[in-house]
Amino acid sequence: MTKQLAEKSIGELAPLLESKEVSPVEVTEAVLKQVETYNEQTNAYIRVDAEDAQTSAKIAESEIMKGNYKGKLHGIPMALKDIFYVKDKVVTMGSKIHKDFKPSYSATVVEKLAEAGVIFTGTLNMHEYAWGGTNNNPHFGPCRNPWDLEKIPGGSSGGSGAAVAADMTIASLGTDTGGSIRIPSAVCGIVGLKPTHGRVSKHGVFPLSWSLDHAGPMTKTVTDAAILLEYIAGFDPKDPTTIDRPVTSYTTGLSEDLKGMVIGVEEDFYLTNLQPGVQELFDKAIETLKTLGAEIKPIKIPSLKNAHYAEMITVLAEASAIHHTNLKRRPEDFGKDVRLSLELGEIPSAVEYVQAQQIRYKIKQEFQEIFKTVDTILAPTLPFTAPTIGQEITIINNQELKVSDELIRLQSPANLTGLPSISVPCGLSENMPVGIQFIGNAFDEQMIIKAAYAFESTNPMEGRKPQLDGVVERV
Amino acid sequence: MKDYLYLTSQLKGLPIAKENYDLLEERLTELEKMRVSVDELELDDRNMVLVNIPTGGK
Repeated sequence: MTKQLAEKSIGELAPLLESKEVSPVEVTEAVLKQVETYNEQTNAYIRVDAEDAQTSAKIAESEIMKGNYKGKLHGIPMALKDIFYVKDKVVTMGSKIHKDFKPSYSATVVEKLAEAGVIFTGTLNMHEYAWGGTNNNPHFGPCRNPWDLEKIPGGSSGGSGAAVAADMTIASLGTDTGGSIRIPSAVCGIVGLKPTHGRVSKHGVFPLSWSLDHAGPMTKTVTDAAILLEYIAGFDPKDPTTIDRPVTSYTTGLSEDLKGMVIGVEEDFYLTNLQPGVQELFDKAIETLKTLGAEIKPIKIPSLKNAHYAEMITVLAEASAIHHTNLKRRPEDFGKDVRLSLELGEIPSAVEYVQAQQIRYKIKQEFQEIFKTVDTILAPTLPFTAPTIGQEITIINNQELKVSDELIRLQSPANLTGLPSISVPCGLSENMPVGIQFIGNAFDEQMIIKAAYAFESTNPMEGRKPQLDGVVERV
Repeated sequence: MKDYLYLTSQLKGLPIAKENYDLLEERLTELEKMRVSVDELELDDRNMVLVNIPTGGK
């Protein structure tokens, strides 16, 4: 029963908690048991706050017993990426430099979750300062993929991906600058939602690249992502990048029918250099979406050929500005790969940065035109399944490609444009999860959630979950 | 390229790790290759995503 509770989603647990059939104490104990059993293998948590969680669970239990049920997140145990500020608690950003950092305030999203009754179980591993996609962390050790412990869980929110997949948290939040929510979601077989830039506050979230960063849900189901987004979305006067647009109910109107929905598929950029297994599952997903009633429409977005350059120049420059002082004063305290990226970011000229922003403008315009004719755009989340820990080169279609580049290649357009994107599992290739992403029009998270929900309802994973003894089992 | 990197690091007072010069040269060369198609765009006076929106006031 304990394990079964930890396996449940927010959508499944909420009615059980509301009806007092299950107590927040039981759910929290179930999750902490999973952490105790599997954290040594996965290294998903940086810090486990078991006592605090148990205390909060008892308070939540008492509140619910008295009839003061707050809503769907009340009594739900959750661990967050170690980049969200929690007042007076150590937040490391996966770094040595911030290993003892205690913020004097909490992130707006943390405050919102706390107010909703979430029980925080600890902080989750991540790529140092979110500057990378492998989560091979030199200070806290590599996080490992629960589907295969020799593989990366993706990054930078790799701890969130691994913990959600291994039922070591019911759900999580991650951040996404070049795919850091969607990459771990795809390779860990979970759902990751990068909302529109400005939809969710980043106040109290340590930045990697101001203009590309997003915070969003990483969950077991599309419904859970929608539930979490309802709680964390909205204008925040403390974050100058949030935009005052109405937050709709993302959980209403979900159906298994996509009749009338037009889905754009762009081939030149998104369908180049895919592993055969990924291509096969993507093609299968298209057929499934047609069966659900969607119309598939070929589209062209010519400026995408410059997206990777614009992403790289922007994130390199902005990240190096953020870490400039520490790079000068204590460079040896950064991990090797992050130090290299920060050094690299000091070199490109201001002209190159401005040109990157010109490219972004052009890409935005082309996406805006496309969204006059389609409701959403479908693409693979990644061109491959999870690489091995430490692997730097991958070979696809006889081409040697850099793992670090391939991790972000298909992600960057949604970061450059700020458009929402949701990654949802579409099956297994050689026993490792593969994801597809739906990209939406600005502030139209509802559309991509609707598409992802309908697709998910066809059960593309056939109920398979990672088994930490290395066997993929149907549950 | 390595000379340029060395000069830049000296000018800016950046402590670039000696063992990183080869990797930095490689990564910069890759960025330069990507720039070929950017130059073809002749961006010049085209608009960019950064906009100046005054805040505050009444």
